[in-house]
Amino acid sequence: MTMATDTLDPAAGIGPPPGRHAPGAAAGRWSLLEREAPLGYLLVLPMAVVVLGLVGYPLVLTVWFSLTDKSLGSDAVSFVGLANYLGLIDDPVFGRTMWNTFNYTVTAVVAKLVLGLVMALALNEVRRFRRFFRAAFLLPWVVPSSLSVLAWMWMFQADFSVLTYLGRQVGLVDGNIPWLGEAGWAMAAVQTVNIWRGAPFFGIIILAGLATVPKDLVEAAVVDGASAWQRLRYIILPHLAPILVVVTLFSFVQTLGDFQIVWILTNGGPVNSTHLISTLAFRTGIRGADIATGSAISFFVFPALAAIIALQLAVMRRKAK
Amino acid sequence: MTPSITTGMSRRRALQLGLGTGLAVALTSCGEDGTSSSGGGDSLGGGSLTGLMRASFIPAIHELQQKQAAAWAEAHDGTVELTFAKEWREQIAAVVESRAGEDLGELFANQAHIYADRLVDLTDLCESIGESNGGWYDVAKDACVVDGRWRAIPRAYTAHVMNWRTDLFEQVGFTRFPGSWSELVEVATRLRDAKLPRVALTMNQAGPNDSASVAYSLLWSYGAAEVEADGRTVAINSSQTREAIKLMQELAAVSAPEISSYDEGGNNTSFLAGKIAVTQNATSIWYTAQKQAPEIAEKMSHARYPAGPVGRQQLVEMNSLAIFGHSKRVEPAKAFYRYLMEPEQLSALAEIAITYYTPLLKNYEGLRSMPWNSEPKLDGLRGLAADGRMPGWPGPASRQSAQAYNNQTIVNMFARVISGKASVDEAIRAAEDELKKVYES
Amino acid sequence: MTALSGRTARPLPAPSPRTARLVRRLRITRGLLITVTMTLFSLFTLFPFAWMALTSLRTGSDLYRVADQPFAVSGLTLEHFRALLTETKFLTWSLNSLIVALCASAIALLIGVPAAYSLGRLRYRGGAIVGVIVFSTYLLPPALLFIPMNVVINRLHLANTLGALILVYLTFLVPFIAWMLSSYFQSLPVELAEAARIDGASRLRAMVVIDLPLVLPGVVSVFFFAFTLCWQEYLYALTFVRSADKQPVAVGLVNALQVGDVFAWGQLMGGALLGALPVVIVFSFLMDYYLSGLTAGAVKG
Repeated sequence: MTMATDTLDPAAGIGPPPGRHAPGAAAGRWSLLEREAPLGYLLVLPMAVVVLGLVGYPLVLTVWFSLTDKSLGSDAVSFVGLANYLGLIDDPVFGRTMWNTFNYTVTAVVAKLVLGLVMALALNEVRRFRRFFRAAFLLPWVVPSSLSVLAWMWMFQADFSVLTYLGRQVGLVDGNIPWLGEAGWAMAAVQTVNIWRGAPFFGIIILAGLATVPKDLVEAAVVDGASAWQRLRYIILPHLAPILVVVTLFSFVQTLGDFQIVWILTNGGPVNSTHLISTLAFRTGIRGADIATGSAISFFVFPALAAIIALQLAVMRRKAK
Repeated sequence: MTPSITTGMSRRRALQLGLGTGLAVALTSCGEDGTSSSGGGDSLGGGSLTGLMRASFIPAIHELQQKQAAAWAEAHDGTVELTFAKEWREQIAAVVESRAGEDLGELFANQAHIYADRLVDLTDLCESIGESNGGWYDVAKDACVVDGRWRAIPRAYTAHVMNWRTDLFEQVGFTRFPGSWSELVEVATRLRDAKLPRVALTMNQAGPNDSASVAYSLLWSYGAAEVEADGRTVAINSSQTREAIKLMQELAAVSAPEISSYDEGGNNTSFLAGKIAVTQNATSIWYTAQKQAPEIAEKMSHARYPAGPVGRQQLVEMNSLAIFGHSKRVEPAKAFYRYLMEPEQLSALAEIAITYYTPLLKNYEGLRSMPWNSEPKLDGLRGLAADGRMPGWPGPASRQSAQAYNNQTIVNMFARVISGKASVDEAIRAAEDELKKVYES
Repeated sequence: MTALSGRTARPLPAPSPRTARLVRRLRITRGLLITVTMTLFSLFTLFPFAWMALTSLRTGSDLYRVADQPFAVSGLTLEHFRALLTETKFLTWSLNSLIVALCASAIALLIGVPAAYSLGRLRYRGGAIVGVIVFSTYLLPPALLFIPMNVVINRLHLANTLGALILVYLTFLVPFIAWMLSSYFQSLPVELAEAARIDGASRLRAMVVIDLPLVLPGVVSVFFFAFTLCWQEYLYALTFVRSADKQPVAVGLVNALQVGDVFAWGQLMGGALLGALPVVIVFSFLMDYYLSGLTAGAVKG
């Protein structure tokens, strides 16, 4: 990773003020950067500039939209305060959407975490065809979802569903399963696709984490007669904890904002029973041109996100101690 | 290439408000030099005209339009670049909202009303086109005239009709398509009793266009409507609506159980596989059948929606041509559109588009090149523009009616009852609440 | 849950016949469990692809037989793949995707790795706040953000260029990389870097020479995931790059092969497979290489 040095060195060469507690010979010239704060700010600065520089304006504009009666393509805009937000509170479609989003996100993330963990642990054990399995498990993540969701759409087609066919062969159903035509089935269907697509992300990241578990520790535990469950519980999981937390939180945010699966498969239906905040915001703000209400809807991910960020902060702080 | 941007007040304020970073400074420094369009008549003067068009599954439609564009461009000293995208609506939304990018766009349904502020006034052009072609149908004006000014040229419409299997109908004693909705229930019952493929009018949120077409057309043919002619008073809670829902209930009871599941493509494939006897669609089933399922093509035909107590009604999908207000080449763009709307170009498009592009000018009705004159199976698509309606009818086309359409309130009203999860009254009440939020707030 | 690590490293001294039998039985159950787990997972992840492959090899009219006999096929054809490669711009789109994904991921690494080190390793006031602000840019779904974002793209004169995508993708790649990698940096032992600093290395040098190699496996996997995030992005690509020659594969394919209610299923599924395979193969090998590097690093530590 020499690229990191390339970018940093010129910047690092700024000014040589005397350092106070810089250890070692290089102290003089580098001293400012030997202190954690200046170096910390310097290293984080490019990210802040790029991300906030690009997102700042759209973000501010969207907040502004949500406080007005702005409609897509219209020039007459007036400030309406919190009216858009308040108008949503007693809207049954919005209420249903909030519940759907919660259900979709929590179910899918928990399932992905569990499946990903099992996937990684199993993969870690396999000796033969390891590379094959790893590639196989990664495939769902690699195919652009604009395409793979269409594959699922094909498998969920009422008359053409191969899944229904298999179910019929085993005798589980007779008739066609209303995969995308009935509220309960439809929610399960979109969650399944999300889990299918996202579990490998957990699996591979956890697998990489497993490789860092000190072997001697595990072996010592085996000698001490620890059961497989005990080794998992007391050695492996604690070691994986930081990675598990990060990958779960990240997936949570991603799943919370998921759009394509629902938009392509059900368009929020049947009767709005699978609408998520993102799809409802899109329907209202873009297709319905009411970008003011659409923006207000999209900001309702904020409480969930704030909770996640608080959690992340807590974890970071605990690590720091 | 990219035309410079003229910014509105709120935008500029938001920008100043928003940022202190280097990027923001870079952003503000490269705007603000908005120059007005140079006169120069119809010639492109070596420049290029760009447009965002609706994609079609019929490649010939793209090819023809590209050919026409190239021919015009060559005669006008420049180039015309049209891009065809499936999700051209999102592209147009982005371009119109940021006032930069392509010059032209093909608008869907009543987008002329939504984007009116940012579209060039085409009143003179539209009126002269109307005069020389026998006049526009009413629905064309509804779609494109906003506050008395034409904001887009209503180039063509697409309509959904009944796609039906003539052979199956014959087996249960019908040699023509039912003329009334209740007669359709009768056919559906006989097909079910004979254990033949059934009627399947899809009513599903994921198939917004197919489903909405039947939902609105059925509702209107019973004399019901979502809103009064004033476009403000919600009118869904009526005895006519009740009758329409009851008809749908009866029909659904003897239809294929998959009607809640079929999405936009689902009813196509199922019809092509011979699984169902009737479904609503434009002519995409017919187009695909000729290539992939000739035996189905042989045995199918098209028919208008049946009549209700107040006759036949027809929801149509409008395709109109607009010039974006930010364009620096308004005059050449108008000239290009005038060329596209000349009978030679427009009838060529109508001919190959198998009714996906049917002109809204009265003189075209009797034209020999219209698809139904060469193919009797397309006769059911003849002359729909006269009864054609926009969503929200009898209210005017508006932002509100577009929203109600996008919310699929009417589709869901029927779907709720079909699913058995709501009574007729509950479904109407839910729809009424949704509509009031849209129309009366 | 029983599919756990640990070879029976050092067998217990002189096991009784009963224990030996038990151990053998346990080992069989474990092997069986792993096999069953792997089979189930493979079915879950691969079945849709097998189905895609089968669909992509069917002839056009054979497709409709899927309703009654999904696995009965009359005559396989490579026609869809031929059409994909010759009648669409598949190769151009793939190349565009590759350019965008590589550039955006590489630039994002350059920016994200130092930030991750800063957030994960250094303690200073406000660090956490900066992190939170950056992560909160995930607040808005692209489903709406693409509208105001397009204004920014136009102002930078990047409309209809791959540069627009490279730039915009940084908005979600950089926080992703910083977030993921900061946890890797956190889990490193601090002693190595401190030893280096006592030997006279600067903080920066210690970071580059000592810490960075240790998190290299993390960097590689994060790079991979960043790459795939770009590879599959749809909405920005759709709205910022409108001419067909410049579109990435995720948009170009769908645009050409699924319009309205007509799906070119064969070509769509073929395209999904063709577009994914090279990525999987390349990264599968790459990851092997770095995973072994990682194990070595862990032993050293």
